[in-house]
Amino acid sequence: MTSSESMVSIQHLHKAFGDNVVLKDVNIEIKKGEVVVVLGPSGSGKSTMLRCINLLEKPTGGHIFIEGKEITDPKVNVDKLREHVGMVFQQFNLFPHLSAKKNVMLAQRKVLKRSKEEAERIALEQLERVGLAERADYMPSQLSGGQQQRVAIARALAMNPHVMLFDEATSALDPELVRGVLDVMRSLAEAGMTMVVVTHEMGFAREVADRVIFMEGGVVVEDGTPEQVFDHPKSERTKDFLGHIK
Amino acid sequence: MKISKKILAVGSCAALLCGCLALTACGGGNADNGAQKPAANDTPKAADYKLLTEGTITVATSADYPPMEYMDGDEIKGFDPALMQEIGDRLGLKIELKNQAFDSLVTAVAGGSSCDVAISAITIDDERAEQVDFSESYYDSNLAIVVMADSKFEKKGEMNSDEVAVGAQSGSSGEAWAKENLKKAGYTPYQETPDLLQALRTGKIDCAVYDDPVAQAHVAGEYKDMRILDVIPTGEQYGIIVNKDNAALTEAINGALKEIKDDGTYAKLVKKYLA
Amino acid sequence: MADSLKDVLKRMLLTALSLSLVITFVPMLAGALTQDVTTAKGNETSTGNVLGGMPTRVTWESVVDKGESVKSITVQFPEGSDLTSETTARLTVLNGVERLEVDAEPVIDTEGENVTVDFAQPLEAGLRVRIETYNACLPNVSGEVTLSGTYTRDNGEVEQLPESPSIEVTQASLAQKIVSWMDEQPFIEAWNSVTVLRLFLEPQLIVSSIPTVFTGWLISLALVLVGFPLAIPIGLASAFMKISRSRVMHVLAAIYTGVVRGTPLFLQIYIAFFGLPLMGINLNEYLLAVLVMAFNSGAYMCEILRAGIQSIPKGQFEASRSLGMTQAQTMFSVIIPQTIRRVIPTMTSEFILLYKDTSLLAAVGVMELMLYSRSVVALTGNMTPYIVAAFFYLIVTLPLIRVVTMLEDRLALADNGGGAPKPKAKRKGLFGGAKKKAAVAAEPAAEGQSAEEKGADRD
Repeated sequence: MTSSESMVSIQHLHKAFGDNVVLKDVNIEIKKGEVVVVLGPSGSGKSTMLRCINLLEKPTGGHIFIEGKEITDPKVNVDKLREHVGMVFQQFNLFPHLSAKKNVMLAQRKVLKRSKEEAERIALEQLERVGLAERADYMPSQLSGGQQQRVAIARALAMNPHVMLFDEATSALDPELVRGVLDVMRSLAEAGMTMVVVTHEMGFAREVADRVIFMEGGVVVEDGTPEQVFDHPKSERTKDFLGHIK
Repeated sequence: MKISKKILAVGSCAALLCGCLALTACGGGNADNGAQKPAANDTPKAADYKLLTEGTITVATSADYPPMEYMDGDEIKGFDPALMQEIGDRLGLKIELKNQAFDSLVTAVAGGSSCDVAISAITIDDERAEQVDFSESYYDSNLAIVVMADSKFEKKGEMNSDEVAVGAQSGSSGEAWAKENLKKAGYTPYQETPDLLQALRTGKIDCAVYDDPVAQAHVAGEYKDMRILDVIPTGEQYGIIVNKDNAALTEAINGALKEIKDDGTYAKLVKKYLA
Repeated sequence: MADSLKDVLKRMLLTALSLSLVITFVPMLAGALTQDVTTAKGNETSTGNVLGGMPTRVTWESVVDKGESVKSITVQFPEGSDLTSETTARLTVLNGVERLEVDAEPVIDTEGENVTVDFAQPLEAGLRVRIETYNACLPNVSGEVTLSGTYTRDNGEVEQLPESPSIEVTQASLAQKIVSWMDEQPFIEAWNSVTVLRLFLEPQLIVSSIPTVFTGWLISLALVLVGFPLAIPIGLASAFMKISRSRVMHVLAAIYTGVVRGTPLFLQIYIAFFGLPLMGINLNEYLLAVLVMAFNSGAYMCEILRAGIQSIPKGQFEASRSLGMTQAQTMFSVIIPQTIRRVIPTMTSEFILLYKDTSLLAAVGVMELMLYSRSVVALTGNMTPYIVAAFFYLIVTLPLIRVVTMLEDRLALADNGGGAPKPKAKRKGLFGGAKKKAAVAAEPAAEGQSAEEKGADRD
């Protein structure tokens, strides 16, 4: 499935909040169609790294390229860039005043200027894809957390992203709801979507990831196939962390 | 005595509806033990009058009407307060002055819980007389139409037109006259005379109708940019208003007024304030 | 020099001669009295109309012509008029602007519907005589009526009075008819015999003041219904300025809200009504009233909306921006709709405050609910119209206060994770959501408090 073409290229990424340095010289290459799972203890900088990819956080140093275009160039149109980078948040962040379907339609109408009919058709398609077509007219408050997260995924997919970023997408969910969301993510991966997934779900990482990255203290500690990272970690810290999780 | 005073104090402070209740209480209290003995006047009838505070006449006035009554710093001065002071002196009573809006005076006196009498260039008029008693008249007055000095208007006949905006003080005889005689003109009431004159100055109204003696003082004093277009001979008379249940007080005031007129004090006051 | 003096003298002589001719002949043609004024006081306070069949004050005024003297005057009211035992009359005689004391008392003939004054000393030429008849009922018709009558010369000749200027009379309205009926009811009389009840709740005055106060109510309502929507864009714009990253914008908005919220509305009204005209800005007073109200309320709304916008979780901005929506799109499609929901209770409170604050406009002569009721109070010396006014304020504010409470309860419920139809087990799934909502639930409470504070400092 993977091709050699670069999707995301992170070079010497540096990020600090005031005096607090969160990312130090992070280098990651992600190819088209690749599924990369980022692991690490909290505070390791993995979420910040993810948020730098669509500029929700502004890097304080280094360069990021998406499909060969440098997004850290100050002249770049951030809104245009974001159309191609879908993001799913830990807290779902559905728009509470809009139904599931309208959540999926809004950006299509406003950003892609799709007609109402087309936006609606695509919305229903995407909701179908995440298994929630029959809940299209429910308000977010009427949906379970897992369902909300799946709507959020549909909302991102409706924009035809070239890469999807998942920021601890299952961390806020009850254990019994996690599976539904992971199933959707798994099917996305199978369909060839480029994905960067920050998660604590080891099973998912082992099963779905093409590559696993382990971060700690703002640096990349491990970068390899799931087998390499899980079974033959290079560093003690990785071993420690994996031991904890298990 | 103490208790009834307390109730009175509450009554005068309380809001509208509470005032209602307090009023009832006051009525009772006064009827029982509110009679006052005047110190210097021993006409038998005068002994029956009631006062809110023993030994003091509480007088309401709208102190925005020089030279009749006005604020000098935080003191109320003018012809009316001076006259009232003379009346108090003759009755052996202290005078306590209270400043309040002109259009609330009749109601306040009729209510009887916040003041005993009001003196404020109030024109004697049978409609007001249905609510309150008037003393004998103490001054003859007329109305005046005041315009800006550079106004294009020349005659009072021109004022009854739909192109003219007239103003007067709310509840005044000037208001009644303007509404009745300048029917075609637009009419705006103002609560305070300074506001009325400010409205005239800023062109919100074309003319103001109010008492001639006051208008004369205005155009000769602080309002030299205005002139009197016409004096309307209404021959109205000012009287002191007293609560209807307090006929004895009205009588005592009338007695004092007569003395003041007879012994030349009145002429002195007119000379001091109105000449 | 001498010639010219002679000329002048000659001219004066001629003028005097012709004048004396006019003086001797004119009275024979026109009678001895010149009618000057005949008016009736408006007894329908909302319109100033003179209603027939209802007590009013009729003023009749004439001047005694040169060379004449008048011993007696009878003013005859038109057919259909009614002078009753409650009718009183007041006589004023003036020489120029000077009031004269005369020995005469008007006598009211309640059968013949006329008022007669016999003067002990005949009235001399040039004197002005005014007869004011209080509580006189003019005919209950729509149209013009005139007064007639007779006068007696000093020599005993009786003459018809010249026709008076006409008074326009309007037929009494239903309310006025009810009042007339009430006047005759013993139980109402009994009620009114209690001073407190009469001063605050006189039934007749309730009925007769309702049309007037109602007119004022409509105006107050119109003022706030125009002013309030105008305040929303002002508030929104300044809220944006306040949260914008531009320092200049922020400072401008801060000055605006600071000055407006830091000074009484009363003062702002005075400045607008008396200050702007001095600068040559003359606006229609109702327009000005609406603008001042909107300008004032806009500052409070700025704070309400700013707090509302800032209470929306950051995740909403991020989700919207991550979908490629611009800042403006995010604001108007995502943030504002949610803000509105959140601020509706506070906004409703603001509406209530603004509605009540229209009363402050009375001080500068804007005819609204307060001033209309005050005009009746001033006319009658009775508090009842204020009670009627209170009723008209309450029919708007009480239901709205109820609505605010309801909305606040509902919002509190929603913020506690309510609204979801699945009550069990899912709570933990919503944990994250519940947490973020709990954080913002504190916001409306803070808003509520600031609204209360505001209420306090505005009173």
